[in-house]
Amino acid sequence: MDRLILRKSDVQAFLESFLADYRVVAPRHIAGSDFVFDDYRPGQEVRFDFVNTLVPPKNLFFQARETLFQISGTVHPTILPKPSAKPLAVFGLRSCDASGLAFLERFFAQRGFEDDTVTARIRSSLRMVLSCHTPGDNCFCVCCDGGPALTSGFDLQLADLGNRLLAEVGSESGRAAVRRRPDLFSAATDADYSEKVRQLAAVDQTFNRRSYISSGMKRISLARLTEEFWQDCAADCRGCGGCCFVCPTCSCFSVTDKPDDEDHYRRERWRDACLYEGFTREASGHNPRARKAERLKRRFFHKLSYQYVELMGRHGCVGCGRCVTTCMGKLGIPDFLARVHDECK
Amino acid sequence: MSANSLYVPQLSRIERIERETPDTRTYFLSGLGIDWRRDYRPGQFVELSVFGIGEAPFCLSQSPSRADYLEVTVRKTGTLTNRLNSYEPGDTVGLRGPFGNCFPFDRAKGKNLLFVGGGIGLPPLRSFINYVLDHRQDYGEVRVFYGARTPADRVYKNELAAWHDSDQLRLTETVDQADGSWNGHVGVVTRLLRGLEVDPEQTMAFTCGPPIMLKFVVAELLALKLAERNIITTLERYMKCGVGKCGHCCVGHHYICVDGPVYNFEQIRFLPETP
Repeated sequence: MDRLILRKSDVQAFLESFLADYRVVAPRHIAGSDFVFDDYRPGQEVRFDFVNTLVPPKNLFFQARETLFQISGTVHPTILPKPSAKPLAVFGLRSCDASGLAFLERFFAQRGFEDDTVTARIRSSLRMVLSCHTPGDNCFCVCCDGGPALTSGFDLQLADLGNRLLAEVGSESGRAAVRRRPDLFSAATDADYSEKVRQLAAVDQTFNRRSYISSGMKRISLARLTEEFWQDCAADCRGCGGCCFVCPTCSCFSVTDKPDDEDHYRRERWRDACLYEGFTREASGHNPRARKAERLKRRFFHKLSYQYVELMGRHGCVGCGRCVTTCMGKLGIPDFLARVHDECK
Repeated sequence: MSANSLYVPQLSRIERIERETPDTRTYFLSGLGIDWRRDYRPGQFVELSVFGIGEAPFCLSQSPSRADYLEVTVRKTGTLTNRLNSYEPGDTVGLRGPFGNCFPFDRAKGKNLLFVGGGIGLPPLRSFINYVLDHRQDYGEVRVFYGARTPADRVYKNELAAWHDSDQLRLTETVDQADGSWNGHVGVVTRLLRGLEVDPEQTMAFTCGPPIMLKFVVAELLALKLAERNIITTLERYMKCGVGKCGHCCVGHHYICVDGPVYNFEQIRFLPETP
């Protein structure tokens, strides 16, 4: 793997080299410790002192609401294709979120049906990952093969070495990115790489949370948890769906036609949550998962069962910790796994 | 191809509409770029767009061997089906598909076949029944049991009359509530199965209908000593995309739209959630 050095003071100039061909996105400071991904504007300050963004960059690729196509007329319709957009260049996404994108890319491509609204966006994008040296309170990627650094699934991986970044090239697109401004990069030394390794080893010891993921996965896969256990979880779940919306790997959606005016419609897809009662309710009123306990069981089975590992090559949690931050009922993945652990003690 | 081709339907014209019951109609669809009319297999379904409302899945109710049109039989129940009920011949809908697996028409070869349908559960079975009739020499005895709420709620009335007259299959019908015109069986369809003489080793059963009916039908079929793997149904789920992405139809790790909708009861028993 090519290893290069990019000075932090040159990152702006580097990002600006993409503006003509890409939609460039980078973390933007909102307030306190809150950061969001937003369009990078020339001259904008680039921050490195954030844990992670409030919502994952998944939103850029698999949008919260999205028009699939437009329709003119109802009983005698014409379908209007969607205009194409510039590819995305995302700077500063964390390892967990890059792992989430790799997961989504695999999911949306599989089973002989490729959803290229999502996969094309991911594949055409430039993923400039910032590996982590200071985990947040709720982070547990280290238990989930989601970070703090990656061995694949990025174009450039940047490690913070103070006023310089160690840049590792992970793909042909990453190499092409460097070629846009070769003058900004210099070769990294063995000492630079050792510094990165030393940081990674140190960060591993600073995680606040550990999860009982392997024993939890086993119990979920073999349906070893009692109805009572799920009822107790259901009593604490508000059914808000927040965990699904902030999850880097959650992929469920709904589709309906939205009117623009009397004769024009958009077929719109929006992200949906398996914790909502209406998610499985049929037109007849029959609902196979009418109870919240059944819906929670569904969510965790999807995230953590071996059956889904078989389909996806890994379990569905990358350890970003956002569900922990979001959940009002202490049912984020590590909290849930701790419950499973206690239940089966 | 546009960038989002997976979700863009082909346009299809409603050529003809047959009124089946007061709330159910069969739509004969054709034209406008549908080139897979004879390529689907019995048991598969389509995503049908009613533009301005959205999309919903419907089984193809006619055998591909008779697919001069694509046929779907739809009861008006929710928002989309109520709007569709106002459509007339000449109007245009969207279609994506065909999706899903199919009835095991190869494994059923040489077997005696029992079909047990309830109400609007007959359309998926009919796609296979007519397929069997068009490949009659490949299959053994064919018996069809059909139950409807009332005589007026029976779908495919002309076809049922033809089946009654046919020597290719034996049809037995029942209704929950009779009226003056009815001189057939009265009562639930499961009662017709009780004490039926079948060779359980040589028989496969296919059943579609409301969940409560399925439960009792399966119990009767097991009592007739049919193996679970020879009792076959279609699982119906709320569904959006039809292509294993939207997540609505999942049962355990199965996507009913891609792995199903046709299952035997042995498979269903091993699903992590019972349907």
